[in-house]
Parts: sequence; structure tokens; C-alpha cells
Amino acid sequence: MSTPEYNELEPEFGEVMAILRGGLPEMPTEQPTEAVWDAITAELGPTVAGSPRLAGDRPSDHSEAPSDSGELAEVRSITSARSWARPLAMVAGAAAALLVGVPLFLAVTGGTDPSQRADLTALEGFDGTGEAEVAGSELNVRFDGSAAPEGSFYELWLLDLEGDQLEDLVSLGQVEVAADGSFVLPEGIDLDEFDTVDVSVEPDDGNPDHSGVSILRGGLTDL
Amino acid sequence: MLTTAPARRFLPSSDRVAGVAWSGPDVRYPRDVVATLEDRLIVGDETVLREIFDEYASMVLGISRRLVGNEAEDLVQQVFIAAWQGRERFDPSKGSLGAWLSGITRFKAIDHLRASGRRPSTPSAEVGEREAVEPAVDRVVDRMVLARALNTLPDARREVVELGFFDDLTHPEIAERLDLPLGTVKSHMRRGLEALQRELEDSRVHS
Repeated sequence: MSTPEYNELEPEFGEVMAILRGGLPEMPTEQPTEAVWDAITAELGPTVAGSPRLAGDRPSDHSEAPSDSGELAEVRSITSARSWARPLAMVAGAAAALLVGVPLFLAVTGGTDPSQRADLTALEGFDGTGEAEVAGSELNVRFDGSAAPEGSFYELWLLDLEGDQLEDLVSLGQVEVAADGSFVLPEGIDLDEFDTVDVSVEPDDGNPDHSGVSILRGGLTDL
Repeated sequence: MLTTAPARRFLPSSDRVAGVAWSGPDVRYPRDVVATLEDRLIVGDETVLREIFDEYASMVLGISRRLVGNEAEDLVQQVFIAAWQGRERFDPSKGSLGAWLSGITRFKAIDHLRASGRRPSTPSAEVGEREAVEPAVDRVVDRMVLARALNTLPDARREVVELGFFDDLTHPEIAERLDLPLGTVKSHMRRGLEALQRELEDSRVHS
């Protein structure tokens, strides 16, 4: 460990390096009991208790939020990516699946066996579920949930996420709820990189960029 | 239905795919008013504390458990109450929400241990018998902050740091193991360490 490369890093990162060498704890998985939350709300008053654990309720009015939240959005994306992986989110997704019924997925594969698939799980606050399959040069997708609100539509994307960071994304086009969609994958796309299927809700405003509002996501895995 | 993929392709921008939940047909989404947990904490949105609790309580409890044993849940309670009451002091330019909460936990744990006249209840392997409260708390919090920060690094950086410090590999050995150029390994290592150091510093500034 006392090689020249590490010695070079020592002056700048000595403290972090010393802690790392001592080993790090596993991330804790224990959750506090509900009594802890009850005690917090008892102290702070009932207004902070307005957000039950699994309901996914969100305030419908965000207008008081600062409008120049650009630098904060990245932090939120990390938070979302994490909560996506959390068991609670999975429970919420499963509950949502029960509400809308298990979607009937009909692959329009034209005889090509699917090579990869993804379960699409609702992000917090959305009640939908879906599936995607890669077959040959096509991505077949079907999801169920609420219809897109008036003045908006759903769009299908492939995301290249490196950890929690978005490296790149590509649009596959508009996608409809409760209908089988089949999309031609961009030629030469590397699905090891673009391995996350994402459905967003897009305001019909002519702006081709991702709105930042994702409703379903899932990682592609080999079959 | 066969839809040809449109040729358009957009530059990556991590603030574009926030993965922010959609709250229903009545949501208003000019894209710049989608509020983050941080935004909502700052403006005092009263429903945000529960979401912050769900996201971070296990980390705070993990630290607390190591420091005060079976009084850990009391400490968790104090941390989240203090976070809400002190939300106006949260400054996202000085670090993440996780670093801020770690800082509050650091502060509250020291208070708690001093008030009870005890040393941390951690096994002596981790904290020496006669050690003062503050360095003992710092040691536990620092390690948890780094564990969380390491977990959130992009995979390549995390692997390089883990091989270097947990498996004691040299940079050339890491390069060989991961089949990466030596320069890439050096760059991942430096950037990884930078990110870890920043998170550690942020967890101190805020306390």
C-alpha cells in the first residue's frame, strides 16, 4: 500500500485513506419503529405527519418551490434512484399492481426470442406497472396505469445511468398506456450502457427534452 | 403498432431526468417547479419530513445504535426534530441532505452522551475505553458517512476505491483486475477520493 501512487494521494486525502484502510461498516438496514415517527410528530405537531409512509401522496401545489432549482435537481435524482431500489418502493409498486390488475403483456416479437427484459415499476406517486422486452432490434413495451393528463403524453426512453448519475439518454418515441408498443432500437445502441427503460410524462409543449417527470422505470436484465 | 425510433437524441443533463414522482392529473409541471426534497425542506413544506425520514432514518439509526445502543431510537427522534426545527440553516450549497443529517447526528450524539455522563456503548474494539466522547463519535459518524458516500459513487469509481483500500491492490494490479488503462484507474481513484472527502467535510461543516 505504500506504493508511489498511494503516497502521492496521501497529502491530499490522508484522512479519508486512513479511515478507508480501517474498513467501513455495512450500510444499516434496520428501520426505526413507527413509535419514533409518532414521537416526532407529537413534538412537532400533526402537520408534519401529513405524509403517510406508503401512500405516495404529494402536495399537488409546488408553486411555492423556488423556480431556479437546477442545481438541486441532481440531488433529487440521486434520492429518487435510491428510493427506487428501496424495499418500501417495491411494496408500493406491488400494491399499485394489485390496484390496476396485472398487465397482460403480449410480445410482438415476430418470432424473435426476447433477449432482455425489464419490469417497470412505478415511481412514487404514480399507480402503474409495466414490462419491456428486447427482441432482436426492437423494444416491446406495455404498461398500465392512468391515462396521460390532458395536454400531455407519455414518452419512452432508454437511460444510461452510471450509479445515480445520468450519463446519456435516448428517446424511443411516444408510448400509449394499455397498448402494446414496439419500438425500433437506435442502430448500434449498447444496451449494456443504456440499460434502464424509463417512461416519462411530457407536456405537449414542443420541447423534445425529457421533462424530468418519470413515472415508471426498470432495469434491463438478460434472459 | 411499430413505431420507428425518432432520430433525435439529446445531450445528457442530470437535471433533466429527476425521476420526480408525478402526483396526478392536477399537477402543474412547468419543469422548473418540480420540487426536490431539499427545496421542499427549505420552503417548509410540512409533508417533506416524512419522506426525509423514510430515506435517511436507517442511516441515522445505524450511527445511533453504535453510539448509544438501546437508546438509539431516542437519538433518531432528536435528530429529526432538530432537523425540522433547524431547517432554515440547511444550505444545499454546503453539502447534501445526507451530510447535513449526519452532522446533526454527530452533534446530538455528543450532547446525548455528555448529558448521560456515559461513553459510547460501542464495543471496545471500535472505541477505546478511555477515549473522549467527541473523537469516539466522530469515528463512528465518519465511517458511516464514508460508507454511504462510497455506496453512491458511480460503480467504476467505487470498485477502484474498494480494490485499492479493502483488497490492498496497487494501481497496476487494479488496472489488470478491471482491464482498465492505468490512467483511468488513477483518475477513478482520485475522483472517488475527492467525492468521499467532500462528503466527509460537508458532514462536519453542517454540524
